[in-house]
Amino acid sequence: MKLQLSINPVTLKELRQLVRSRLILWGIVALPIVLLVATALVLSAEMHGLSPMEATYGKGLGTGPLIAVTAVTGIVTCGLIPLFTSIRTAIETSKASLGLEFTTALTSAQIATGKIAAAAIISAIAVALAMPFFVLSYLMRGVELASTFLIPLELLVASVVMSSLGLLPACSRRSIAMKIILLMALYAVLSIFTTSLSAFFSIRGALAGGTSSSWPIAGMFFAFAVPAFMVAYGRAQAAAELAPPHTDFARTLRITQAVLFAVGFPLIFAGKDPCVLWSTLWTLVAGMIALGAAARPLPVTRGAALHAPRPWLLRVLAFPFATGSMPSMFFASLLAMASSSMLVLSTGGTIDFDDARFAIVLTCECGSLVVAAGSIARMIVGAHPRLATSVGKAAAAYIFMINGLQFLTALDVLERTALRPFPCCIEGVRRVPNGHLVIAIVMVIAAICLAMAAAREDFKRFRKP
Amino acid sequence: MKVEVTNLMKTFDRGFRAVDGLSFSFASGEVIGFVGPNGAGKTTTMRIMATLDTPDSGDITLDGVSVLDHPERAHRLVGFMPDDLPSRSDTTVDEYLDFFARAYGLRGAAIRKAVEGVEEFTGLAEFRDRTLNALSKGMKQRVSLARALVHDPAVLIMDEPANGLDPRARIELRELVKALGENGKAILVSSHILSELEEMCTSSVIIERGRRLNAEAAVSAETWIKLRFLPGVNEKALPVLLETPGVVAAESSGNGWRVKTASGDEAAAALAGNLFARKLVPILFEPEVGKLEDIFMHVTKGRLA
Repeated sequence: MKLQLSINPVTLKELRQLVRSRLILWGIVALPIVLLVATALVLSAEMHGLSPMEATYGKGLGTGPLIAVTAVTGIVTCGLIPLFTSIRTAIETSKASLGLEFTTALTSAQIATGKIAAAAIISAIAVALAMPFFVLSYLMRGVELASTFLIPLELLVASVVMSSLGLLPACSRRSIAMKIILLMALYAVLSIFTTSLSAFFSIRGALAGGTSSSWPIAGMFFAFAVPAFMVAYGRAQAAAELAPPHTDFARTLRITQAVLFAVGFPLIFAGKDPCVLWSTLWTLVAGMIALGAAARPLPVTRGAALHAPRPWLLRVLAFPFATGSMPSMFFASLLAMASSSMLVLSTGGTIDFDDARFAIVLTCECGSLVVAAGSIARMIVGAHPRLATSVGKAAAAYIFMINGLQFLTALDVLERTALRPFPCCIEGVRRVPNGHLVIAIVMVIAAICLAMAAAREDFKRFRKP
Repeated sequence: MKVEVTNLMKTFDRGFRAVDGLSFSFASGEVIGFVGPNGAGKTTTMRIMATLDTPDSGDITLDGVSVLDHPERAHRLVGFMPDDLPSRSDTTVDEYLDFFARAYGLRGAAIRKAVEGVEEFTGLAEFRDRTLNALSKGMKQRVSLARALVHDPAVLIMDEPANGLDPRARIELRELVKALGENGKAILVSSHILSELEEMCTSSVIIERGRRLNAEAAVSAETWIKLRFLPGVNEKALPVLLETPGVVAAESSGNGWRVKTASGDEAAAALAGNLFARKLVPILFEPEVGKLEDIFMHVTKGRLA
């Protein structure tokens, strides 16, 4: 049996094109020079402020260069390369030159994977160029040995995450306004990334025998599983955006959503701080699903119908995943509400978490309900799709606002009391903790009934042609 | 390979019906001219056939296999040549074709074999290391054709392939298409240059406002024949032309006549017999090249959808 190494054709094409890109070539040449200059400048500044006798881990002369090298490499790998990939893809999409690729045996998922892989290879080259400077930092006692390799690895992982999410606005054939909104979603990545990075440092501390990690399993989850989930989701969503209309373009996305839900949900409760885990997971999964779905309602395609299960009950269960904004956003709100409700149950109705964080959780939940309402509205006002689109956009904007508040709160920019005017006030939940669960369940059931009633025409089309 | 388009319907936003119940078929070895005014639905039909678009109803089958239900099979059977040309400054001809060969699932030595094969066939071998944007329009058209052929499809769809080409490039393209038809490919080619189509196509489908028009009646009803005689014979021929059964009209055309017949080949045979019987031997006797143009003008109304 002959073994043939099969490289993704899109990766190969992208790399061939990148080789001819002056920007990339000059970037590769300039990066070591910039790193050298930055290291020299920072080192020079440190030498005037620190005596070699005081040098210990984290306080040695190498700390400054470590920060400088991490920052410069981070800007290149997590900023410039994903941006470059995103812009190139956006140009291809706008020129419709991607269309011809869909007449080939390539799937949209392969195209998305190929572009992400090409960006990852370029990032790996950038990280490799920065490695001598990380080693220099280690030699100057600015960082311990494990981190000398783990920090570049984290940068590389983050770069892949950013590239995969950066593909989303680029692949979208939506209006400019919606592309901007999608682009704004990348702020969530910063939130995730900072959490991931802190988790990573927590692990690093535990490994080094220094500061112990309070939640090593959760830390591991954040450091590696969350980025992996994000890449998987970004790839699936990009593939769904790119796919031509004759295919079941949402199939991969649905499978990814289901896997994310199945794997992510139990992990919510694996850590000792489920509230933090939950809110992060919300931003990661539910937020992305809701935003993606709000931007463009999708009808039942012939491809989706072709894969519809025959048994009626299975078809009912599969239907929410096969249609457009309503089911996806509904799924997002379900995810959010179920998580929140189980969180309340898991504490036996006693809330002893940080008030502000819990308020954020509940406010997010409220936002998800608005999104769900917006999505259901599309079906109710089926004769007025423009109104439905407006409702969807308003809901998306609301979600952004809520997540923005969450992010700002995480940065301690906002005072905790600033969240009090929002509907799900922490005081109310404190008084009747299980009432919140009851309200959530009632709303879910009501929403399901409304959706089922309004979607019956769509459901008739969801069967094998 | 038989391609069947059945009752195809496609409506775009605001009720714009691009294709309205279109049906036709063609098979291996046939080169079909796909003719219609701007906005008639030609490109939409071709895009559906190439799986780049989806109809509201109807279907397109390749030997009975629906391109809508099994697009992955259609990808291997259909080569699509759109009207826009490849133009990149960072990709050479060889890399471009190599990418598509891989994208169509070719592996190992088969990639080089396919790429070199189509480069040879389309005359691109000496341009393989040039970047796409450094090629002339005719050469880009060849690259586009080579790309459509790289996986050796049984069906070739060409949307306005001669658009913007100079006369030499047009003739070369025409010869390539004829050669492909003779090699057994089923070809659907659209163009506004009807005389070009007439020379390369075995038959044609005329559409307007998304519907197929009945060109058969026009073909049998109006056939123009070009006649030329030696000096002195020209004037004597006119009464004979007009008295021949099936001849509707005759008009002077340089040293000869253009004769309009009512019943196609039968009238032409009767006309030839009559002329030879009177010893009025023509030095030129041929159906007019612009026949498709006449049919097109006769059956279409120039209305947009």
